[in-house]
Amino acid sequence: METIKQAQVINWLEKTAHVIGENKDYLTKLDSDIGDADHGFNMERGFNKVLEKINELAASEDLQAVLKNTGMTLLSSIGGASGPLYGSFFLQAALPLEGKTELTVEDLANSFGKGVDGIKARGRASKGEKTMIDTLEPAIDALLLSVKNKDSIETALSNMLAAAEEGMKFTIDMIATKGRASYLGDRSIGHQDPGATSSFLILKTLKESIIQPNS
Amino acid sequence: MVGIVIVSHSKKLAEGVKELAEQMSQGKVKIFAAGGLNDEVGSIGTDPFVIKEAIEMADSEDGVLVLMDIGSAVMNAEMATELLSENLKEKVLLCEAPLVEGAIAAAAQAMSGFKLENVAMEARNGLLGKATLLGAAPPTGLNGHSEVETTGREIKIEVPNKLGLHARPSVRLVELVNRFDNEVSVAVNNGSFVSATSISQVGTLGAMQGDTLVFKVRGNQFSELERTLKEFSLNNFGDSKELKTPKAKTKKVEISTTSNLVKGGAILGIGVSKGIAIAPAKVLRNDNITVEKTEIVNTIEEIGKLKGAISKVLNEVEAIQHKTMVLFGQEDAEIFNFHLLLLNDKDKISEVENLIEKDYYSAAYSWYKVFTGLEQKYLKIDDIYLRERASDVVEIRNKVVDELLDSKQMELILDEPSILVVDEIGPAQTLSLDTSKVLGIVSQIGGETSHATILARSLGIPAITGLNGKIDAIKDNFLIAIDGSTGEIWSEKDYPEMIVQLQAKKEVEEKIKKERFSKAKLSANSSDGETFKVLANISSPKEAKIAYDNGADGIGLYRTEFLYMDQETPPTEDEQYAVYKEVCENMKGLPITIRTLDVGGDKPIPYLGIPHEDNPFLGLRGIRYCLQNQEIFKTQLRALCRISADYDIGIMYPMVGMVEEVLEANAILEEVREDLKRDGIPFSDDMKVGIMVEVPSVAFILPLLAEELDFISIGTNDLTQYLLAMDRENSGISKHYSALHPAVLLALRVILDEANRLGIEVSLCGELAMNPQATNLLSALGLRRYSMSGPAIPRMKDTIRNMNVGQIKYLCKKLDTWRTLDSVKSALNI
Repeated sequence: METIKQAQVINWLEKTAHVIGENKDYLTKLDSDIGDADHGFNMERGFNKVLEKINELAASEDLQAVLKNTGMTLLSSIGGASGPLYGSFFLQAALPLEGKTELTVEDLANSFGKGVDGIKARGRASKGEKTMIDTLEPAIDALLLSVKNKDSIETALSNMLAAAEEGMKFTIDMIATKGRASYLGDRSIGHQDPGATSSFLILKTLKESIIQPNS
Repeated sequence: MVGIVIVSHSKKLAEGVKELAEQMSQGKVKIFAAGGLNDEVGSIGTDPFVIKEAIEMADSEDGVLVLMDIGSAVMNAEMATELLSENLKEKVLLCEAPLVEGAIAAAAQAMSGFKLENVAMEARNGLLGKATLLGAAPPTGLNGHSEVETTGREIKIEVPNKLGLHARPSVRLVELVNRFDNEVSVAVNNGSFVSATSISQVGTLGAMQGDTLVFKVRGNQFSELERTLKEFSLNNFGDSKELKTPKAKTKKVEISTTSNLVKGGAILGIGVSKGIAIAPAKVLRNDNITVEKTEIVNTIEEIGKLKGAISKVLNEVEAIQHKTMVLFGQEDAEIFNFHLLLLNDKDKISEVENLIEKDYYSAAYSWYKVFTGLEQKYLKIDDIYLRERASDVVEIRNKVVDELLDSKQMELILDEPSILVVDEIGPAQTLSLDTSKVLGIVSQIGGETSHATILARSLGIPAITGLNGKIDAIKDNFLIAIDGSTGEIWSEKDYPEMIVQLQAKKEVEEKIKKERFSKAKLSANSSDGETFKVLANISSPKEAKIAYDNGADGIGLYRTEFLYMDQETPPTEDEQYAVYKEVCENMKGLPITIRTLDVGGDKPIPYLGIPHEDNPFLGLRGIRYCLQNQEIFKTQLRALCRISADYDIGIMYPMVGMVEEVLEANAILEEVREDLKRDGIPFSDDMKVGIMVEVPSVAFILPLLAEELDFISIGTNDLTQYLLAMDRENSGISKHYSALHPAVLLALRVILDEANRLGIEVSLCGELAMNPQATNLLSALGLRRYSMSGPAIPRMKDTIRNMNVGQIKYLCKKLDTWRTLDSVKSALNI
């Protein structure tokens, strides 16, 4: 397999909505430890809106339109800080994809790289502050490495997810300095960040929608 | 003027902060709330598109200040800014100031016309006042008191008002200081000086009644400022006080002044009734009505003429007062008490009679001379409130002169939709305007508290006054645009682009209004799902239209008396049918409750032949009159029955106090139906029949009445007056007159319980229905149908939507513990 097709991206978004729904209570639990206990609920609301639009998304002319529309939808439906953050991720990730209906590993790395830049600019956060960036940035680094190594899509996605998971787990030992959790200071140590977790779930779903379990 | 947007995760919080800030800015600043998500329930969260829209609506030449709470509010405010047009983006400032304090400070500063940067700085300084009050150090980096100049010419004024320099007077003070080109600092007694141009700093002074405010002024407009501040002090810092006129309005006592500035090409007056109007100017200069000095021979005849004219004008003013009462409520109606006082002023009248008898002057000239003298006296009074009464004196003077000379100098008649440009306009004239023709009012003389202004606001007509000579610049038939919130008048000839700009602004305002209306048209359910009906009180087809536009769920009280007023004979069946039909058409099929003729008491109609009674309020009133004058009653019932064939109406009898009255009225109704049947005229057998509950006896006999009735409607004004045996117009005893008195509330509980138990539909249509604080209590007692003036409906629906009936049930129990009016008021926070 050389590229990720538009239909697979749609499939990813659709699956993500279900995965987020299944993990709603888990995300909320994580957020109730160090935040305001709304992350699961907010994410579900946001991705349910995406799900409602899935046919419209599927009919888009290119992947830029798909991600842009997804970003706009999340912006106005998540409600919490994840709204502008994931909204920015998808809006920025859409930028390099004009006219594209399939993605190489390089396209994916470019697109997600832009997306993470968007989150960093919007949230004024960087790696190590116990946020979604701790999941996403290592994931993008892994993708970039795969571009250099000319890995297959399967390998690239597997490596990406491994790096994302490692990054997510690092957040357990971090002190939060951004977002609601930062009010807790030292007490935020020992809890996995809910934003880092939802980012991981989104990436995990990407891998699983491209690589069928039997391959 | 800088616009302000309040962003919060919570819709309620954003709207609450907006409300607080608007209180500061008196509605002069465009403030928009962007709280919660854009879903049906307004979930907690923020939505950049909601924020974007709010910024677009708050957009103004001077820019938009955005204040927000935390987290996603900040990020989404940034996001929203990025979504704006390039042109608007540059004018938006996202400000880190504390939300509540910042919004209030910003609103106050924006109102004085400051630039965006300055408004933002004041918002950031919003914490200063609180820090000072709590004795905490001002937060670092905030603009403290240190670098203020303490030299300059001095003005000292004493704080006159009871509450001292609290929030509103502080805002007003800063606004006044900023009118002039001076650098001004201020201190209390011997304290340290702060900048008098900054609300956050003036707000820290905390001056109490009797303290001396010391101003240091550097600049060219020292004496202008001094005069203004003295006036402000004489005006009790804008707070209400015991005024010397009876029943003085205290609500809107504000300083007013004249302005002859021209700002950027606009003719600038004082905007006193907001809104934008664009239309040709109709200039009707009316400052000098003329009365020739005529001599007469027969003094007795002349005095007779005078008395006749006074009595005619008295009747006219009383009718106007009653009309105002019905349209806008008691407070506006009290405006005409001063007119009535003047017409009954024995000293003045004998002065006029003296001129007639001794100097053989005509009645018209004598009256004119005496009242012109009185006008001059009022104009010299320092107290601004009293000074503005001069225009009332002039209106009464002119009205009687017009009557005596049979001239029409007071009439303001427009042929096409225009903006009326006059020297001065009186309240009665304002009320007689054809609102479909008069789109705006510009007057040379007037003020914020002048009675005409208050009525213009009630009528929703944009108005600008205080033009002080600049009125000559407005030419008859020129297309002009006026903005009642800024006081600007633009002429199309010189500034066509401004007309376009204001047209756009007007469209935005209309859009906002429309949105509010569209929400009002949805049904009102409490947050725990109880269904309510919010109905309108009306007295004409025009008001029915207003009620419908405001989202009335029906008409709860249609007063039919107006059909009978200003006529020589009672209206015919066909005349009535046509008017009722128009009301029904205007309500587009919603249910309408029509009250049968309610005359007597305070509602005299000459041709009805109601005899003079020693005690008219206990005399031939309401249904009692109709039962004794069956022809008039039957005519009305016939018209109503015919309407019932095509529309969903109910009729109700006023002033019922016993079963006999209902039995007799229903028997007459039955006769009318028989007649109609015989004549082959269609009507509905299902037309509902009810009564007004105004006479206290009804509370005891509802079970006896139940069989005869489909519904009742409680009229709290009369019920209170009869239950407490207290005339509310009698200022000597009316201290305890209130529909919230425990005695009235307990009676209401009995009535509501009984009605609900008996399955009789019950609504409430008195002034109490419009009191939002009382809404919780009444709803807890089981009331679900409220009836009020049309424009009050959207707010009432909002109140209901924010109410949780389950959570307020405890108020029923509380009611037993309230023993006095004061305890009710403090419990309900009124």
